[in-house]
Amino acid sequence: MALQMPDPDGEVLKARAAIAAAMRKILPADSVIDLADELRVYETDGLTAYRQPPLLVVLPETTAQVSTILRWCHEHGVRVVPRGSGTSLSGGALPLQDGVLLSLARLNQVIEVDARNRLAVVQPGVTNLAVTRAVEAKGFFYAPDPSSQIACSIGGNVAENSGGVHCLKYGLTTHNVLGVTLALVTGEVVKLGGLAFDAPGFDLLGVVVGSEGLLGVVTEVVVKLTPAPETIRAALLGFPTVEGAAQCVADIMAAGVTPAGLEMMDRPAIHAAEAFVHAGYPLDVEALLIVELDGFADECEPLLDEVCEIARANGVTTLRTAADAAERARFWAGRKAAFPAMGALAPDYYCMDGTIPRRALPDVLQRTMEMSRACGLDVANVFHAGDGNLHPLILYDANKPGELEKAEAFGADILRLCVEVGGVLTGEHGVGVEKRDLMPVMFNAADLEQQQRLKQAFDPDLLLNPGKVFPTLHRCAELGRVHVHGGRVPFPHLPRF
Amino acid sequence: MGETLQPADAREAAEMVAAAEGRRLEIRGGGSKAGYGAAQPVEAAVLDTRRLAQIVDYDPQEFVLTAGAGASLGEIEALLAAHGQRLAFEPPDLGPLLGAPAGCATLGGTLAANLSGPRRVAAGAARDHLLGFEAVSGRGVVFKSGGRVVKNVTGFDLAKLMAGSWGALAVLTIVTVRTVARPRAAATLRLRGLTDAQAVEAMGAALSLPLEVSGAAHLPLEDQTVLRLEGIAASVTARLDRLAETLAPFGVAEVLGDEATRSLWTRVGALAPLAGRAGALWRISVPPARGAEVLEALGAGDAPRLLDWAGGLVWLTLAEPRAAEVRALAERLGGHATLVRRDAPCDAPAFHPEPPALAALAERVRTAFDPQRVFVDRRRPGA
Repeated sequence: MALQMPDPDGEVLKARAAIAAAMRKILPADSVIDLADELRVYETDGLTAYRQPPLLVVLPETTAQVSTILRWCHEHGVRVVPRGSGTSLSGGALPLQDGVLLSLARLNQVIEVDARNRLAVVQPGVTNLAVTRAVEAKGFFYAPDPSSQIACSIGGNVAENSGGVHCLKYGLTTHNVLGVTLALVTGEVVKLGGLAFDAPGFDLLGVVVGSEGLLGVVTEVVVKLTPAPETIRAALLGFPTVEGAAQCVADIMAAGVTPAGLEMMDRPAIHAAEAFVHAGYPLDVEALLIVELDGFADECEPLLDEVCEIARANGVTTLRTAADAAERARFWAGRKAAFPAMGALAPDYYCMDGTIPRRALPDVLQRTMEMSRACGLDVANVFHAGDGNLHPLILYDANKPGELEKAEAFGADILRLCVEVGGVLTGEHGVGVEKRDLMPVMFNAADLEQQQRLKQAFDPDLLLNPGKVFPTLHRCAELGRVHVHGGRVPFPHLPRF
Repeated sequence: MGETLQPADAREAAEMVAAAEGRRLEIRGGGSKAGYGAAQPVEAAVLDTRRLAQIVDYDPQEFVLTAGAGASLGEIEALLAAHGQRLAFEPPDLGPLLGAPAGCATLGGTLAANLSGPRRVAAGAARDHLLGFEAVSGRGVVFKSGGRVVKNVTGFDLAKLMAGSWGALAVLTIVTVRTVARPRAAATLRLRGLTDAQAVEAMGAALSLPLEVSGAAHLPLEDQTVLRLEGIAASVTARLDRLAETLAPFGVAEVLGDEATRSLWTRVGALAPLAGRAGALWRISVPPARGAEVLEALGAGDAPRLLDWAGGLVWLTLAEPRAAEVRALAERLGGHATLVRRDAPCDAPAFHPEPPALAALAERVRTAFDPQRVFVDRRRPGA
């Protein structure tokens, strides 16, 4: 699939061997990859519709090496694409033909766990789950839990401001990072934030989190640790109307109960998931909620009672509370299988990621269904209901001529609808290359120009991860998405929900 | 002081900034924090935001409020309270401490200062609750960023940059903040007779349990160490028992009910025990377990002081600023120190100085928003 990326610099392409030689002066020889076969491993990330082998790959192991690589590339005008574990769903780590791919995979050490101050210092290549593994014996966990957490790296989480099922209660990456060490494109190394709250000066930490590798390369991260809950309880709530479920969500929040997880599925998603994993979901409801509560043992019971009472007041027709961990896992099984369940219904599906005000949900679902009927493609919706993050899954068959284009147009229309009702283009997957050309739907020229000026304060020559986040001058008709064909998902071992 | 400009909307504000022509503007809300960190008044016209006060959108069920940046914080809080809600970061009213009347803060000023109250330990800082905004840059251009939803990764998170910028980057005209439900119940456990070090240890133990302690402060001038729990009544009761059990080694705890809890924590946020104390006022942020070390190293065991954020925030009054010493210590402990108020002129900057590479980056960021330095912040000398 064609994707407009910045024109490759012919001089850089010609100098490839010399650049590799220069990198081998900075790094051990086997930490520089330039063989075509080996480069192919890095040609894509979680957005597999696009592939481009990089100029070469470098695998530094220290902040000093990262800094030296960046300084060299900056002095020689060579573009750099940072990469964590490469699980991005928006093409954030898509390589450039004339760009050095800077992998942080070998900066993979947990440097310090400081339980007394409830923080840990880790290198960016440490996986999300490994942070929790390193601290759980002391009674803590690292709260953000993107569904790819067994593979995705903390550095990547910082770049994308990753969330997770439990971010409603525990916050996104930006709320759980105290500081970073950042190598600038010039090779200068700065510390943003730190070990203590609310550093003085402009909150550059806040703007680096979620900057998709455009502002610098993170080489160390200070994360906040959260005391692990003693107990987890869950309820499965079925409603005869979407409105009833939506009102139940609003009332739970209004009661001052903050569930750890609060997920909604619409009728097509419920039926697909039930057919796929037999989770025991009711098939006679329009919307299903999974409410998970966690905390200290003696408080979860009253909180669960409160949630059930609110559900009854909103006309719940199916109400089950999990008696044990096994039953709780069954409640979740269908929700977590929603994506693969779509793969069983159609040859291809395509996942969107918008956020809407909760009040707009019934309207957005109805209009999505109307669009679905108009274009002849089925859609199912899963929804992080507590925070309004909607994942419509569009079913199509790429082998039918024109269907892919139809699915993409449908998807873009859904995102435009999200913005129209007061929401945003992406809640957690990032802009990357995937949604960059939709940015003008949400931002006007002055808004985008201010963002670009900030980019230039960090990277005046636009050498870091160019072609991402901002719309290209040459408009590209094709807007890539998370396309899944024949069930061949990127990173098939990773759950995606 | 020159004239005062009072824009009624972003367009007017943009025209005023564009017409500044080399004249400098000091952005000002209610003036509650005009004394915060201020070394001396600056030569500038005042751009007063208080006509930018409309409520643009507030649907309580969405837990999001959009309003003009110049809206009165007190009025916003009253509006939220009428719907059973509040701002989670518990903005402190430092006005009286800094020589301004109580209750004069604006919403935008509160966010631009990124000052958060005792609930910072549980709910995050002001910056975590600013979801989006509209502003006027130093170029006189209206721009926006963020949105009206909590979960949003569309573009750079400029809202974080606005929070804590103290008016040095842009004039906030409209802000969107998240709100939360007011808990139905609140209670405080109070311990007596603890040293600073014991108090820090007790607060650390409490915050290491999954009890969602939403305030942990040590008020040595009043001989009390206090821990707050909030939520639905049954949950608060259950957690209180567990907390008292955990803290048994530190003494027998007394329980304060709802009403006493509310007034106590308002006083903690406003630093009431330090009101009227002469001297230099420091705000020292360190990793929480090191809070008592700050006081010990400075020999400030008897100085007027208050520890918030489970020890992570030390408020301290010293007869002389001792700036070099305080800052070297804060850095050694992994933190930083702000000289919030000075009694007599001294050379020390208000904010903890940044290393050269970071300071240069910050200046480039400032240039990205305000190349001509139209906006002046009295807390940043020479900038």
